[in-house]
Amino acid sequence: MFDKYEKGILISSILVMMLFIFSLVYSLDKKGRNITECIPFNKTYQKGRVEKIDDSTYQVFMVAKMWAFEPDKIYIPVGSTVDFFLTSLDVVHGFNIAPKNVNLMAVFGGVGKSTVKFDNPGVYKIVCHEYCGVGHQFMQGEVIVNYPENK
Amino acid sequence: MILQNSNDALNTEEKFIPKGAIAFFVLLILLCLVIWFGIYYIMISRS
Amino acid sequence: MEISRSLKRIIIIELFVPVSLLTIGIYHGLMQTIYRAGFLHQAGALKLDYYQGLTLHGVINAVVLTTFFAVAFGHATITHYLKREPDILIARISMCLMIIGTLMAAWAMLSGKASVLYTFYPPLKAHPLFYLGAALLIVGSWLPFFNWAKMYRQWKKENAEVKTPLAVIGTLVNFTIWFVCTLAVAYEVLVLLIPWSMGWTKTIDVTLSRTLFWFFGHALVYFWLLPAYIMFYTMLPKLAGGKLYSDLAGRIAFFSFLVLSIPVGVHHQFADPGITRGVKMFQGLLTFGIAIPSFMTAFNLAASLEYAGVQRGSKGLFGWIKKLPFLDPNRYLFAYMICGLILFIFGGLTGIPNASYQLNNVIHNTAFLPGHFHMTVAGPVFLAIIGMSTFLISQLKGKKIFWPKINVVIPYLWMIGVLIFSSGLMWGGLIGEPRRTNLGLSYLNPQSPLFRPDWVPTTMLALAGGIIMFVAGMLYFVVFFGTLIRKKTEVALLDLPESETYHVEKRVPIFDKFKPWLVIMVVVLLLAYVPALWGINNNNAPKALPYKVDNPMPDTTNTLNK
Repeated sequence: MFDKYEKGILISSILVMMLFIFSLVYSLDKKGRNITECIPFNKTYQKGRVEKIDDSTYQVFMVAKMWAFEPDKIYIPVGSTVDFFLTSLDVVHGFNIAPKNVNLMAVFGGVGKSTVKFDNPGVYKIVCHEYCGVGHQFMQGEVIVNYPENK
Repeated sequence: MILQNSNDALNTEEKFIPKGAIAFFVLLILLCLVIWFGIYYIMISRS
Repeated sequence: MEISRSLKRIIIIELFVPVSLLTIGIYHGLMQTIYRAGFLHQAGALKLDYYQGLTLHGVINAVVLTTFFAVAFGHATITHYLKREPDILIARISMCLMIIGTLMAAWAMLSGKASVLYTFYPPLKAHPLFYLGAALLIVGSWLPFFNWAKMYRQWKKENAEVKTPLAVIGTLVNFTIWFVCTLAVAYEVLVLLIPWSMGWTKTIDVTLSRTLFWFFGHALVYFWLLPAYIMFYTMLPKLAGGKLYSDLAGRIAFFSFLVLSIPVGVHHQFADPGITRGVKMFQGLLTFGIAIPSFMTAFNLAASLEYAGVQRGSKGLFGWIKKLPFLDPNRYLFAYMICGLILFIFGGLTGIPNASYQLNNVIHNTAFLPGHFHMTVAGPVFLAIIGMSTFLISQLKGKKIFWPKINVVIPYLWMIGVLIFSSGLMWGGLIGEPRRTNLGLSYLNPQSPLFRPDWVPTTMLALAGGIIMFVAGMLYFVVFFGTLIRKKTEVALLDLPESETYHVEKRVPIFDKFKPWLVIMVVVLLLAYVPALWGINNNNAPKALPYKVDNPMPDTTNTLNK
């Protein structure tokens, strides 16, 4: 039967779960701390390019295709905020900038958005972490943040 | 002798309080918090 | 109890087939760790490509082995507890369908025409026979469930006031989850994938396919886990020499799984476009709910084991642990289960961050995932499956265990291997190491521009763990096949260990009937999945052409002529 120890266990595990939920809500929506936002699809997202909005805001329209990211090298000044818009031209690809928590899936017919702020310079690797065929393990892009001096 | 055993069995029957299981559960919860907040800290430190 | 020759043969075949295929499954598991640690810098070995091996490893271990065992163990549990045998014709048809389906899928995978991994995400296209084989395996596994449900209703009529055995509740809950969730993947396979891969329909909605797959995919995880839970609740306390602390808590846990197993699939798609954040958040919250029954089970089993220790005169807070029969060759099932539970402590807890919304960004699709699930499906589930398979073979064939002293050590060896293996993968995952990737060709190849030295120690650790797991696996095959073919010396029978409950518990009606819980399940399922499918249906995203794994150009040729 369900005695008082069982009740205590049930309540404490519920409390732990609520603690986790509270911590998630507390930290939500800071730059780079939210999950993929779903954007209505249209053709313009299928052309890989970087658009400069102002000195510290960039929009990167990233296209994943069988076995390369387009553009595969992006030059961003330090301290800038970047909106990544990601879609795929063919199969499902992954898009992971591990040091910055940017983690998206590229799906044909879908556009995912994620925003991140690059505070310190460096070369941030973009790794495809979803199997997409024989060239999958070679699929990697780079975000170069003011390193070396922005060309 | 048999009576003795049955008494023991009876004794443990009533007064068995799962103290060890509760202690194990507390450790389990602590480990859960360590793992979860460990990854939470990694997330915070990265963005 | 004595069981008929034909049922005995069915159960033995349904154990023999998957364990034989498991040899290929475990071989490809080892190969993964060798490629990923950079000891192989090539696309394939022995004419088996890396991703072909990964597909074989996933399909054989996580779909074929688990489904066959669930059916075989279901037959044994229902027969043992209801004291009557399932319909032999239905059981035979089910077995044949499952075997034919498995052979179809095996042919497609071995001939390299289905290297799409066990999640078979479109637009990567596999040979239609791969999809048809999967569908047959699933439909084949439905048939026994319909038969058991009829037997249960009949038994219930005769025993209205008798409490239904917990193992029967567990089996029926497990297969109810299985039947409902496989409807989605059956639809995906039969209506979307097969016509598309045959070339009859040109394009496919990728997000819809992925959502239907994960409608099935997470419930699949509980379809793996519940047979192990049935063993933990109904056998472990007896094997440990104690009693089950609370039978009612077990029922609450099983019915909670019935309600919450399926409507949480979207937590596998947090990083996907095409699904709104509202749906992701709702299903994420539901996923927190499903952690509760597992916490209750952890306490319930710990209390049962403590009671066993107290029976053997243990003292102090953790004295009971020392009293448990860890290395008793006659109670080897205890060893298989306790090692599974130790792994499940870490496996279960490392699963919660995945469901925790934005925390998932840190670990999604990284090596952290295989690290996590090798301590859940390749931990308690796998050890329960192989332990019980040997147990059933030795009982049904009336044969003693081959190498009993080695047999009882195997789970400990496997546990140590998995702990090392998983810590390497999880450490790697936290520093960005991807899963499902032939690292040896790029990230772990010193000559490659993509070389990542920081992933060398993590993949080395995974290799070390993988080797130990492989050794334990080989020893198990010797024990299993040795037991199968040795001389018969015992009376053949079916006698599953049955635990008593510590408290004398009378029947609680609400937890002894299915209807109310089925209603709740359907309501929660609609609440969770109607918005998701409605959104996908309305965002009229363009659909995708099929692609072969080795060709960036779409594959518009009709597969029949290939």
